[in-house]
Amino acid sequence: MKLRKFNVTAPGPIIHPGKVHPVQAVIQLVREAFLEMGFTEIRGSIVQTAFWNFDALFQPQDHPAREMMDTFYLAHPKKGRLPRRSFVEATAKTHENGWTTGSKGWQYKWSPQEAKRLVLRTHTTSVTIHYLAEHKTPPVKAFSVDRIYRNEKLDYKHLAELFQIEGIIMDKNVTLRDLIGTMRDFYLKLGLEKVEFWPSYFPYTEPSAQATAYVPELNTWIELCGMGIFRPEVLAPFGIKHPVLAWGGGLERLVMLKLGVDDIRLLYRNNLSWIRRHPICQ
Amino acid sequence: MPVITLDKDRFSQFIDRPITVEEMAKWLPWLGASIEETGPDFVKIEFNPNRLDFSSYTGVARAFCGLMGWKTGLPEYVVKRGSIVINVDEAVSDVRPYILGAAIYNIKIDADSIAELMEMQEDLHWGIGRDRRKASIGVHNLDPVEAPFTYTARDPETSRFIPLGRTTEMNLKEILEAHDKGAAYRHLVDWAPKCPLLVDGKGQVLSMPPIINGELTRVEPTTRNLFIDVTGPDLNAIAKSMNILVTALADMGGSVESVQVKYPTQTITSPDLKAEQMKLRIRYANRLLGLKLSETQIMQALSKCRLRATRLGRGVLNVSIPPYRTDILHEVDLVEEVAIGYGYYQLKPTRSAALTRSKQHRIQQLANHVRQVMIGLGFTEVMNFILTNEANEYVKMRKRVGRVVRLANPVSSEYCIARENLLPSLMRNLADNKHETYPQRIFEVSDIIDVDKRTETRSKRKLHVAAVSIHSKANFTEIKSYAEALMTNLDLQKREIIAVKHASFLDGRTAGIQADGSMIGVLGELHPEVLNNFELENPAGAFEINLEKAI
Repeated sequence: MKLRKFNVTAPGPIIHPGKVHPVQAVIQLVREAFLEMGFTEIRGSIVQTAFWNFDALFQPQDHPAREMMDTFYLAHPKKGRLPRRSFVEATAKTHENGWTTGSKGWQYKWSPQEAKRLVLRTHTTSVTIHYLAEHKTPPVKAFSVDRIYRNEKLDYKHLAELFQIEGIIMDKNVTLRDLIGTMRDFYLKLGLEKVEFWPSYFPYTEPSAQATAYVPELNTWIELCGMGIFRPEVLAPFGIKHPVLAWGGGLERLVMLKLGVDDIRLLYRNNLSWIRRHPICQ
Repeated sequence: MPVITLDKDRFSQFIDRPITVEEMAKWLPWLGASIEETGPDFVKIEFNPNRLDFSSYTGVARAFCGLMGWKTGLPEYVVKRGSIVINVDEAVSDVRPYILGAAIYNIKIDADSIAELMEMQEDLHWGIGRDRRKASIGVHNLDPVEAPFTYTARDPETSRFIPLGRTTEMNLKEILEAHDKGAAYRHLVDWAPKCPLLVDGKGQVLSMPPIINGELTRVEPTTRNLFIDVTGPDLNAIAKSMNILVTALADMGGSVESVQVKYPTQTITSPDLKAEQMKLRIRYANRLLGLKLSETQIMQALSKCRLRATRLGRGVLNVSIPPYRTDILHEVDLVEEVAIGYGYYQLKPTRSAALTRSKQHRIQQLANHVRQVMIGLGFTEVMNFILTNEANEYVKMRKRVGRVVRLANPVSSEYCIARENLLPSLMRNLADNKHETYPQRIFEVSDIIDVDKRTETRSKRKLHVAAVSIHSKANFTEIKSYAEALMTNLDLQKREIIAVKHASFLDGRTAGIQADGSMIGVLGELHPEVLNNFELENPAGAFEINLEKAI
């Protein structure tokens, strides 16, 4: 029998494998980094009361971040339910005069009505503080990589809906230096070797810091995440007794860096040739 | 976030020594400012809203000199007892009840410092004043006016003056309606029958708070004596604004004199530039930072942050805080000052010893199982926003709009509701990919939000999976096989497939998926009208399953 010889160099028909979305691939990398470090994954509601999104994090009710310009409020359903009374009362007093925390507080009359307003969460920290209020036995190490919302007009740098990476460690005697050490380990796992820490400010952490990382491919430093130790005014109303180290940053920036994308909107345009073309390991 | 552009030469006058742009860019971030931009002779920094004292050259210079060790410790401010009185009329108590004043003498200003003062005012209006609602500032040339002043409320139609930037008199109503500042801030006063007004002993108008000053007291480069007024409904906020502004003016060389503010029931002497006192426990600071600093080291660190610490007892310091540091609320804020004075760059990493076992969230784990099966079946994952619009979700899908989660302030009509299904997003993806090669098989495993009155947030986030297969031979049988393969692998054994009607699918080729007696999904051939609405030319099969039952 004689077989006809094929032209083995001729191109075969193109087929495309089923595959994971490139952003999802990075989410999985980040999750793995947390899981390798012994963190528990948490998940909570995307719609939050202003109470958990802002008040529980010691953001005064007239804080600029709470304005309609920055936060998506809901027209329907409009208002949610406040948690147990002891939480609400302690939070109210902490805002008004510092309660038993030794703080001056924000010196205004706290409104429960304002705290009931429903928002699309502006950070996953609303879920974190809720989780801590229910898990007070140290050590607690928790993380999430999940959706958050900003009232932002879409352009090449901004999205209204994006993913936040967040982690916390609550334990006896954890310190700012521990937070810096943990951050170094975490970003090393994601391939960022040179990370620096600078003073910064967030309403619910003190001391606060921000991390920047050197990206050799771009020969530049980028902002990675904000971090700090939760303020006593955040912990006391929920009876949390030990320091909480926390950090949070955007996922998309990391994704854009890894994929070499410079228009953030491309990430969720779901252009099939873009997804099909992207090697799954990079 | 507020920014300030620091010209190198001007900045060096404030720090009393020459400096390079490189040195500024190197050290300013260690104060908590981030470098926005550097040029050949300037550094533009963005500062955090807690440090509004960085809104002036002198404010930055003060902190910078401390950090560099050139000038440390508490800056002291002297307020001489002045003779100016502000009488507060009861009439203003319903509109904008509080005012504080200060007089500044013998200050040398130029065009640059006037511009700087204006920017500083804007930063304070934003950061403390909450866009002038809680506090607004007026800076005046003191010389053309005569004390005592009266802070009162007047009828908007009969009171008149020349507002800043105009040449003719306008009445208050005209200013609210026709002046650009009036249009911008009228909502703060126009609900009241009378408008707040600050007038001098001869009845001349200094300002119409919080809208605009009078032309009469315009500050020029030749001005040497200033009068400051801060008004608002919140005495605490106006005192903070006053302190940050007046300390900057004092550091610019002005000498500060007090003003007696006489309310019907009390008299307040302003400004109050006394240092505030707070305790700091050495052990508390060291424990939070992870350091073992001695009392002396901590006192030195605080001194570099322009605070003064004295020993109060064993392990406890008394810390004096300058009046411009309005951000220090709690002992923990002093701990951060210790870290800044010590230098964040000196903080060596350590690791917390806590041994914990990692745990994935069961929903994320399930989503990953779904991903694995769908990819195995040859589907490509897409990721869409939860925010969407009615046209895509309902009209194009031939469905009626229900009571969905809806935004009060959407940024565009394209993103105004939360999706309650994934499939419409996938249809839009197909529409966007019409020019790509077929077959196309895509899926999404992600969240939807349903209204649910029983929960704390009146809504519930649920994990769904949806998939579409589109090509010339796509049909019911194909998509059913895919759906069955997925469900079998998710161990959804007790499911039942029944014939149903669904507006988005072809009648007679639509099946419902039931589990434990409730409907958890739908599968079928998409209705030609739906395909047409998304301008698709091939037949398509799709399914969507609520995964709550599989968890």
